[in-house]
Amino acid sequence: MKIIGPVEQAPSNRRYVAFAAGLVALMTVLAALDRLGVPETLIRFVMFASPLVAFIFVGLAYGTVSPNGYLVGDRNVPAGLNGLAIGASIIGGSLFIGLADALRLWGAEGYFILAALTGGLYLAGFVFAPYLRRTQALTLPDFFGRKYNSSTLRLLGALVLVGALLPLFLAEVEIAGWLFGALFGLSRQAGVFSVLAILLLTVLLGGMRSLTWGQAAQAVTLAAAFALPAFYLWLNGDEGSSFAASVSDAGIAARYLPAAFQGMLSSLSFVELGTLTASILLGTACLPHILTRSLVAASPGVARRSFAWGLAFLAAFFAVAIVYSRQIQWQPTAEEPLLWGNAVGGIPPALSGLVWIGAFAATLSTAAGTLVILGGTLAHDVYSHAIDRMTPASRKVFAARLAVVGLCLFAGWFALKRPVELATLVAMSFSLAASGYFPVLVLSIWTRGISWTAALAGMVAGIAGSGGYFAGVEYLGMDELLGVSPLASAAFGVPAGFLASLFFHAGEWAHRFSIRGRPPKTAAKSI
Amino acid sequence: MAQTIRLGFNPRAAWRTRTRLLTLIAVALLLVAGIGPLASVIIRGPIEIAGFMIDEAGAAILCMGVLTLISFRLCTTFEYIDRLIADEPGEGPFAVPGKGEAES
Repeated sequence: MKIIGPVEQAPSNRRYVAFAAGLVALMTVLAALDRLGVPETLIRFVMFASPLVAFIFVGLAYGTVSPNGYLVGDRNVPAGLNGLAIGASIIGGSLFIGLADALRLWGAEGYFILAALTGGLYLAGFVFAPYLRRTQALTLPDFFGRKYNSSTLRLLGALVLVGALLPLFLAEVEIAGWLFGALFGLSRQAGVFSVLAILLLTVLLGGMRSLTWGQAAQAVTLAAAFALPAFYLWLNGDEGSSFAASVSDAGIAARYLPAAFQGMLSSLSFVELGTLTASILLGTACLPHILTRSLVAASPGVARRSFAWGLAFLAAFFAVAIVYSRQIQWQPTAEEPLLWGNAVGGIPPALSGLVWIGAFAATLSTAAGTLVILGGTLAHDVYSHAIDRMTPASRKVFAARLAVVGLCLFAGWFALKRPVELATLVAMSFSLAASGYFPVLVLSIWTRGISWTAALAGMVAGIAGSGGYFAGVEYLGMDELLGVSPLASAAFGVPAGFLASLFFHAGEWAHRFSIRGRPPKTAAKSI
Repeated sequence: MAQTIRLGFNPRAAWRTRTRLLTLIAVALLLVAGIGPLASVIIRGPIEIAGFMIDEAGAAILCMGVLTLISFRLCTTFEYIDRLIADEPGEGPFAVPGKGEAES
């Protein structure tokens, strides 16, 4: 029996088991040094810096000059590691730091958000991932460009991708900068620029290739950092130390959440909560930096299994977060900024260093993932398909690197100027991704005969429905329709996309049918 | 004149139908086994199963676990079908999007 898809020699998973074992061994050694009286600051620094050096080493070691390697990581990533990378991409710094606190803040209805995130990943794995991988596309907009042979659809797809991912990238860079600055006592701007330098070191040379292997290492780190303190407190009891305080903070959830999420979700109406949940569900299924991970798998089956592993990783992470949320003594009036140096006083310095690097790895993972996908799309879909169609392969990689550097410079400028509020735009990313991609992806993969005009109509209507409602309510003073929050604007965008696409499809079908019934033209006879 | 009536088994259509059906089942399981019970517990309050009280947090953990198990089981089934399809060259589960195999 044949096995479909290209089966290539994939790098061994054992090195990641060795990495995890090394992490635990390092922590044990540092704990022993702590008993011998080595300063806590030094121990925390070594625990933070060692995995970070490993991330940078992976980024530099997996450099490549081939577009296939830079954009889709040579397509030889095994399912388990790809699943780890998917999990790390979706968790990010915001969920690592703030989820436990946010669950406490939201009340019972907050679990709908968790269900929507896991459900979205499940949908992405079974409805889209293997079929996207089957197309051999290099990026998500490339799928539309190849399927419909249309530059317009390709560019529109790229526009949705940039609109959805850019706020996520900027937000993760900001969180990472803030973490880095808090640890080393730097200003926010200095922290952001340090993070940008680390980002460039980890992904500039290898793109998706170095990103994938780096993300797997980051996933191992964040998993250890999230789980080990729980074991520690379980073994030693939590008297005098708040585990939750070491991984979360009262202020963080409220500060980084948009207004709709700043309070008990039970205060939302049934329609508002339902549409928010649906928007996050469909948005997660269509998030470009998650879907693109299907393109790096060795075969369609491996792509599907990657998402199953990602789901397992995410479910385990959420289960631990739920346990933490039960321990938080949240005080709504807390205004003090997160000072992890103080907050982790209850646990040993080696463990607190691990928690720091876990949070940083989670943030770095999502920031690097979005950065590489953005750079790849700008180089492949915008530069080499719209600006210079005859570009050689080597120049495409150069263009991608240039785009990565440009995006980092933009993030630096954004950190200095802060022209707009990010929290709302980040929450809007889910609705934009769902509205722009979900109807067209479903119809493109699961139906035959959808033409490029119908696909274009679907995408335009989706973006217009979602973006129009959001802009109308947020900026133009329009009243909410049916009690739907502007952050759940996918409730309008997704149906609008489906309706427009099917309307055009029906019109084309009727046109073809009417032509078929007509007698042949008699112009030649008259001549 | 006698008219030929063909009654045959079309493997392409059969695999296509089966893959679609499986994906529909996967999506339905998401709602029925994943989000449904969680919604029920949140709206109606904790339930008792075999002596254990299942509250919202328990239901959320249970639902995510069920989804994970279902997804691994479905992966195996889909891969079995994929292998059978691969034994028949040129038979895809449905219209293969894209324009050829060449990377660009």
